[in-house]
Amino acid sequence: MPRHRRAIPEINAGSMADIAFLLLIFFLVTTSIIDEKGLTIKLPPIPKQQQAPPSVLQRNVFDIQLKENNQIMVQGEMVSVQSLSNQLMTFIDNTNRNPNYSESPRSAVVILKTDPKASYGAYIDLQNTLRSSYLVLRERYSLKTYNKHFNDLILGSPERQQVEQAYPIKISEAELVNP
Amino acid sequence: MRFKRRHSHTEPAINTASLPDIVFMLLFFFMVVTKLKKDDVKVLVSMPNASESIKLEQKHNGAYIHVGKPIDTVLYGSAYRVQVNDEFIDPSNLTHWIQEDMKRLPKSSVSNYAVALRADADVPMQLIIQIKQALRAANALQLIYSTQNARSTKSPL
Repeated sequence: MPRHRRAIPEINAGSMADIAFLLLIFFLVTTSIIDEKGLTIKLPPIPKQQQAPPSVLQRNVFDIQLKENNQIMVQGEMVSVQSLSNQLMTFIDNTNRNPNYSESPRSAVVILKTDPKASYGAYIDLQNTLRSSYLVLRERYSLKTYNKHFNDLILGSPERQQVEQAYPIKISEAELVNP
Repeated sequence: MRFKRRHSHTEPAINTASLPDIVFMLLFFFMVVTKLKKDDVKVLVSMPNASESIKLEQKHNGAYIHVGKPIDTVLYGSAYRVQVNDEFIDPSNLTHWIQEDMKRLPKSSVSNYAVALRADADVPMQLIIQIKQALRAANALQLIYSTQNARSTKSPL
């Protein structure tokens, strides 16, 4: 009786591409590459006991209020977003020139009060302006001291930390007190 | 003279044996970069723009809070609502919810717990302040104000 040699039958891989295409198209259609972007902030913890707020010299305080009609009030005067940025920069970068402005960039504090009726969009716009003002100052300092852009300084490097310490972002959001 | 073609001219078949490999490569790429959408957003959110937004590099480890007007106004009304993951929640219950949500993380990564706030630009600050207070009470102190790209159509204020 003749023995047939049993060859292992080859698996037909021709349809593999079809299956893979099908899956590929599924993922292509369902994917939407979201890039998460945002402003990160760190909230202050709720103090354990009622304690007096740290005393800050009046001249070091840059007082900003976001009013209910989304207008911005700085040290008691209505200003536009653009002039807010300029005022803030002169205020921070004063270093004992003008006795009404901050003593040094390190001691300058921004206090932000928000009206409950103001819109979130205006608030984000304001936060964004504050941040960009600080970044301009940091960039200047970085170029002057290290001749490098602030963004080119490696995260966590001593140079970057030095810049960050020279211009610390101190934004304090006052808890709401009813007027 | 014999110019007659001897060989029959059939086109050579293109070898498609490597096609599955290529397709699989693409497939794996998309499988890896895809993050399946977890919750389905029930509120209309048009986030504000901010030029200084930072692209968040680490994978987001925490909750999303959506704030806006409900899409289905018949069912949910037209007041601003707070949605956490898949459900509407009252802001006063938010602290409790966040605390429960933080428990599912291992102890070591609790400090990385961040909340992404995706709120509509027209939401009054009252609600945002309430949410922030609730987060502080839950000791979830890292907050991200999610923003849109600056090139979007809605002009900044």
